[in-house]
Amino acid sequence: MSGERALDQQSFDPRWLAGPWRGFRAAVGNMLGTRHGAAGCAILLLLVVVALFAPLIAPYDPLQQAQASLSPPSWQNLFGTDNTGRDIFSLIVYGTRTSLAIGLGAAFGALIVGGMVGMLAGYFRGAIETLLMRLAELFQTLPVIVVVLFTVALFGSSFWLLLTAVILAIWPVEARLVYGQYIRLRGMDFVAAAKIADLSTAHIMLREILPNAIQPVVVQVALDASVAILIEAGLGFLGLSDPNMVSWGQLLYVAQDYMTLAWWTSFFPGAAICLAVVGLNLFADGLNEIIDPRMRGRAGGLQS
Amino acid sequence: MNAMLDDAGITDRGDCDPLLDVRDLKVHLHVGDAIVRAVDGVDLSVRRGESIGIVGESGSGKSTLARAILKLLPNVEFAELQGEVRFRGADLTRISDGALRELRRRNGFSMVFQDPLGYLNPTKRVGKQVAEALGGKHDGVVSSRVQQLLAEAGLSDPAELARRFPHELSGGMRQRVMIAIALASEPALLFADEPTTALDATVQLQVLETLGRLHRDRNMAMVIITHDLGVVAELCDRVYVMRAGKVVENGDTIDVFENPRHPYAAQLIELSTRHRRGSTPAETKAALSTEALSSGVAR
Amino acid sequence: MTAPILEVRSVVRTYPSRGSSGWRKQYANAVDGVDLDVNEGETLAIVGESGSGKSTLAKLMLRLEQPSQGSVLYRGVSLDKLDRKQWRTYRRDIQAVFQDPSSSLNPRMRVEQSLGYVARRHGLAEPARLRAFLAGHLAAVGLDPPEQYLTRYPHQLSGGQQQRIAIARAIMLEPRLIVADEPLSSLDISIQAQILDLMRELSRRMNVGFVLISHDLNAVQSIAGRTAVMQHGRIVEIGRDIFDAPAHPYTRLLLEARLSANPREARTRQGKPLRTQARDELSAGSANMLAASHGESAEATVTGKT
Repeated sequence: MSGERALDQQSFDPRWLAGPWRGFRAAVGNMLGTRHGAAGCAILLLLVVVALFAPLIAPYDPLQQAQASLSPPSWQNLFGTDNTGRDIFSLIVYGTRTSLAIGLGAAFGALIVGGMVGMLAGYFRGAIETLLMRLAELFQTLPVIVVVLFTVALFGSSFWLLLTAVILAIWPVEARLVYGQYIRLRGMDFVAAAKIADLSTAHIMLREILPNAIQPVVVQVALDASVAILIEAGLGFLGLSDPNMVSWGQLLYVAQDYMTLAWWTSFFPGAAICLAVVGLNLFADGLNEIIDPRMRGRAGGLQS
Repeated sequence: MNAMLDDAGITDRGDCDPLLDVRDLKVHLHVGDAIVRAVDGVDLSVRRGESIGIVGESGSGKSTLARAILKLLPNVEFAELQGEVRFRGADLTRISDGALRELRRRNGFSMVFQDPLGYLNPTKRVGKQVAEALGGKHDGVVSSRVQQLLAEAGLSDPAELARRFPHELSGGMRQRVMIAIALASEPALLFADEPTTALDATVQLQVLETLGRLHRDRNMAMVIITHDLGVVAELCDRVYVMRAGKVVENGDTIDVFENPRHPYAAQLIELSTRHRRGSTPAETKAALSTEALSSGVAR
Repeated sequence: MTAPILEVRSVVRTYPSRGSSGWRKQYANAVDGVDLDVNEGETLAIVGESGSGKSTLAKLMLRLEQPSQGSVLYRGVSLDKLDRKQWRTYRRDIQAVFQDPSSSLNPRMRVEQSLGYVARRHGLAEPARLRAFLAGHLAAVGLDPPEQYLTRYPHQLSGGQQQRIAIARAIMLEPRLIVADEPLSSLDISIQAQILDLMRELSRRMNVGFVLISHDLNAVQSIAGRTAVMQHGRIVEIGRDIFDAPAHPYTRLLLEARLSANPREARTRQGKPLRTQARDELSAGSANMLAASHGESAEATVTGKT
C-alpha cells in the first residue's frame, strides 16, 4: 500500500472536473431558457458592463462641476445635473461600481461567514450549534441602521465599514439556510459511508456535503445581493455612506432637498436601484426555476 | 342519485359480470422528450366477489395501471390514456366527474394505499374521518356505524379508537382505519395498492387476514397490487403478472404458481418460494447474473 | 481464528423521546442490554420488526452511534480506547452496506469519485493505477464492463447496480466484516437474489463475515449461520436452528407470520380462525390497556421506526 497521504491535499483527476463545468454550461443554457432567468441575466450583464467600462460610458467626470446646476434632462445631460452641477448620468454610471461592489461583496461575504457558521453548527451540533445559532439570532434581531449610525458616529464612514455593516446584517440568513441543509444531509447514508471509510471531517463537510447543500444557497446569494444593494441605498439616503465615493444612495441623499424642484435628481438614482434589485430577483427566480426539482422535467433536465 | 349513474350508462343493478373489464389499456407517460409506455395494452377483468392480484417488480407498470383505472393519474397533461375501462358496464374513461364521485361514494370502488399517513388527515380524529366517509354528521346513528366499520376492519375497542388522532396509532391500526374508511361506501370493488408493504411481518399477516375475511363475508371483489407473491398466494383467486407495462401471465393463482408458462413468471415464483422451502441454500446462479430482469425501463 | 472480531458487551443506547403527554421528556432504550459476539468469517443475521433496535445496534457496531452504557469491542479493545493505528485497522476491517443504495452513494459524485476518495484515503493504489484498481473491483461485484460504470452518477444506475457499487466500496478495503443494514429491502426480488448470491460468493472467496440486519426471515434463512432475534431492544433468542426449533414465543410468532407462497395451503386455511391474535395492537405503545387485556406486558415498547 502506498503511503498515507490525505486525499484532500492531492490534486484531482482533471476528468472529474468535466462534470461540474459541463453542468455549469448546462445551467447557463437552462437559465436563458427561462423567462425570468433570461431577463435577470440581461439586466445583470448590463450592470456589469456599465460598471467595468464606466470611464468609457460616462460622458463627464462625475465629480466635475462644470455644468449649470439643476439643469433638467437634455441631450447634453441625459439625466440632468444636480445642485452642484454634476452630470447625473455619469454619477449613476460610476455609482454602479459602488452598488455592485457592495451588493456582490456583501452577498459573498455573508455566504462565507454564514456558510461557515451554518456548516459548523449543522455538522457538529451540540454546544457549537447552540452558541453559533444563538449568535445568528442575535444578529438577525439587531437593527442594522442603528448599529451603523453608531459606528459611523465613532469611526466615520468608509466603503469597508459599509460593506462590513451590510455583511453583518445579512449573514444570519445564509447561516440558517446552510445550517438546515447540513442538518438534513449529515444524517444521510453517504455521509455515514464516508465516516466508515475514515474520510476526514474536512473532506466530509466540504467534499461530500457541500456540493449537495449548495443549490438553495446559490439562490439566496442572488437575493442577498439585492438586499445588500437596498441596505446600502438606505444607508446612503440617511447620509451614512462614504462621502468620498459615488453611490446611488448618496445621490438620493443629496437629492432630498430638491425633490420637488428637480425630479430628475431623485428619479434616476431611484430607477437605477430598482433596476438592480429587480434584475437580481429575476436572476434568483431563474436559478430557482432550474434548481427546483418540480421544474426539472420541463427545463429539459439539468439532472434527470 | 341513480340518475347520475344512469347518465353514465351504469345500467346494472347488481348483476353485471364482469364487474370490471379493462380492454387494451395503454398509458403513455411523457417524461421530458421521451415517452414511457408505462402500461402497454393490458386486458384485465374482475368478476363479482373475486379477488385478483397484480404482481410485478418496480417499473412494471402495476401501480400506474391501478391509478389509470381509478382515474387517479397525477399530471394528466403528461399522461396519455387509451383503451376501455368498463366498471358495471360504464366506460370510466368517458364518465363524468359527478358520476365518478357517485361511484366512489356508493357501491362503487374504494381504495387502500401503502402509506395511510399520507391519506389520513393528521388534525382530525379517526372517528370523524370515518364519519365523513359515510357522508354524515357525527350524530348517534353515524357514530355507531363508525364503530361498526372500525370493528369490521379488525380494530378492537373501536369506541376508544375513534377518539384518537392518526399519529397516535401504530402502522397496522392506521391501515385498518383506511380499510374502515374504504368500507364506508359499501364498495363492490376494493383496490389495495401494496396494502401491507410498510408493515411488520406479524402485522402484515393480520391485515391480510382481515382483507380476506372482508372479501369473503361481504362478497367484495378485490384487486391487490403487490410486489410480493406471498400476498398473492394468501389472498388472490387469480393473478396477473406484469412486466414492462404488459401482462406476461395470468390465470388461477394455483395454476400460475404450479405451472407458470412465461419464463419471467416462473423465475419470480421460483425466487419467492425458494427461500421459503427451508434450508436449501440454493446456490442457483439461475441465469440471474445480469440485471436483465430488472425492468427494461432504464432510468 | 476463533476469537470474535466484534464483541457487544451489555450495550444500552438511550434516546430522548416525547412521552404521550408531550411535555415530560422520556427516555426510550432503542438497544436495551445487548451482548453479542461476532466471529471472524461468520454470517450473523439480526432479525426483528421495526423499532426492535436492530438498526441502532448496527450503528453502534459501526461507531456511528456511541453506547449510553456498555461497550463495543474490536478484537478485544473497546472502540473508544482504540489507538490511532488500531482505529485505522478497525475502519478498514469493518465496513457497511446500507438499505437505500441511492442515498448511500453521494448523488453529486461519479462512481469513480465516490470510490476513489476511499481508495486514496487508505492508499489502496498508486494514483496512476487507481482507475484500473477501481475497475477491477467493479468487475468483482459483477458490473461489466466496469469502465462504463466509473463515470456514471448514482442516478444513472439502477438500484441493484447502486447496491453492487456500495458493496464494491466496502470490499475494496478487504474488510473482515461487513455490517449490512437491510441491504435487500429496497430492491426488487430478482435483484435481491443476485445480491444474496454476491454476498455468499464474497463470504466463500474472501472469508469476509457479514452482520446481516433484516426483517426478511426468508432471505436470512438462506444465508445466515447464526440468527439473532431482537424485540424491544433485546436479543430474545440467538442460534443456528431458530428456524427449525424456535425456543422463544416471539421467534415462533415471527416464523408463523411468514407468508407461505403456497396458494393451496392458504386456501385450505381460508375461513378458519385467525392464525395469530390481534398483536398489532400489542406493538402499539399507545394501547397499553389492550395489551394488558391480552396478557402481554407493554412497558418499554418502542414504537415507530428507528
